Amino acid sequence: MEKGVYRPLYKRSAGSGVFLIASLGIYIIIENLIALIFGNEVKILSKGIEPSYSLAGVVLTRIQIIQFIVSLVLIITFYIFVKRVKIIKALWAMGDEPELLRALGLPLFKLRELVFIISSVFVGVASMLTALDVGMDPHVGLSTLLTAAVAVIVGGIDSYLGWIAGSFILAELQSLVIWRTSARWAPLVTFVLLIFILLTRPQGVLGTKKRLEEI
Amino acid sequence: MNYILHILIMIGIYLIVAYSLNLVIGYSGLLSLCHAAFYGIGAYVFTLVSMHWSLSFIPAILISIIFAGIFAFLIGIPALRFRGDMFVVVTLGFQMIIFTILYNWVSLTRGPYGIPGIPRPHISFIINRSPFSIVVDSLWEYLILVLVLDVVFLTLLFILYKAPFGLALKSLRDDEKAAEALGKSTFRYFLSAFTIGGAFAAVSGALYASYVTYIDPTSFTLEESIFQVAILLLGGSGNIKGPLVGVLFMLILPEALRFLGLPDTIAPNVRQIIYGALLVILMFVRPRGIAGEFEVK
Repeated sequence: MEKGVYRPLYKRSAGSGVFLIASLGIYIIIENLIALIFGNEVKILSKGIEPSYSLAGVVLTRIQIIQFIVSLVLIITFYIFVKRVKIIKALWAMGDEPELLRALGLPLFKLRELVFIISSVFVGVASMLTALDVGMDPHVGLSTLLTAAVAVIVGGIDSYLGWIAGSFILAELQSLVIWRTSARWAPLVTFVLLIFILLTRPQGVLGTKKRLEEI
Repeated sequence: MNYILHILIMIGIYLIVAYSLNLVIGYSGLLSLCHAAFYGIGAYVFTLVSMHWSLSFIPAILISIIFAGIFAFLIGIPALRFRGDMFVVVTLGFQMIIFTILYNWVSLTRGPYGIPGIPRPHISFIINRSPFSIVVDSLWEYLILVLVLDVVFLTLLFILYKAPFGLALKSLRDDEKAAEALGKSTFRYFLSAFTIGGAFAAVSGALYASYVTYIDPTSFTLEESIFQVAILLLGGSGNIKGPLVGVLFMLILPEALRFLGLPDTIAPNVRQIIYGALLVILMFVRPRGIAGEFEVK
């Protein structure tokens, strides 16, 4: 994907709108290829009922506890990785000013590949965990992506803790709304929160204050 | 014959959608992903008004235009603080919000059950003090109705395109700072274009509702918004030929694919794959679309 589509577009100095549409096209192709090969229905991985545990009044199934532990491990690992390893600083720099990176002698394209690899690994783990819990069908990609994008924007695009904070805020608000009203209004929460944050504090809750154009 | 009439009617309905979205994407350079929301609001307002208040066609359409215009205005105000990527994200957010409301406010819209039994258009008017009433029922009559409305609304849009309004929009699209330096208020022009675009989409929504006589929220999703944007990206925007090419291409392609004889289990997926591949190829080869003027940046 990176080599075949994004890099050639980047080399032609395509603007961000072009990338958006191209990535949308790729998403549609891959989603439907998966549906072609595996079928359009929801697939579940484990049959039967999961054993559940009760901790201090809260009932959790075994898979949900596994999800929590795996996520925690990944987040902590990534956090240490980000703070210690120098490559990550290069990635932040690449986000700001890609051309300068090449001027300083750092391998821009290798870093782009690294970004795709790392993010794909994370997404793969997340989808595996979800598939073990509630099953998977080829068409959940877009709504999951949107929720994730909202979490990132709400929390702060340029702060690692911001991403975590954003996810927490979003999940908490969704759960509150589901508890108070009913589950069908959950997506509404996601996007109303998005609009609210973009209007009041566009850089996100934990982002650094910037002018609007730089976001 | 009925098949061809059906396709022609759908083309006629989508022409208004495409040209109204052209005002936003092609002339203002704003990639808006919430046009299906205005299309849906138009359809729902038209339906609710003609069924609960028993209004005839023309008053119902006018009310749906006004409602969609108000929504477009209200959405445009926060959305137009941003340009480019963020504008897409904000309109996407509003599209999802409106879809969720249409889907879940069951007491108003009957949610996923949809609203069946929408009456076919009744047009009543008075000539020489005696009332006339036309009911548009058969496919031919529907085609004529769609053509008449196309002529009316497309002419209005074309006048806007060629008028100083359209030219000012294009100058703002091409270079915002320069146009502002010449005294054109970005916010006002873009907001007007956005509002008018949304209001006209309601006409298509109303036509769709009374043609199919059944609407439900799944016709007005994010996918539909993306489809409408793809019409403009493929055919071209920012001029008069582009949207026509786009509508013809996107509506005739699935019908042409039908004759390939793909088995039904894989046909919809293959169609979507071709559609996705076209978007990618388009970004490589011709960002301005087949017959367009505005290039996606």
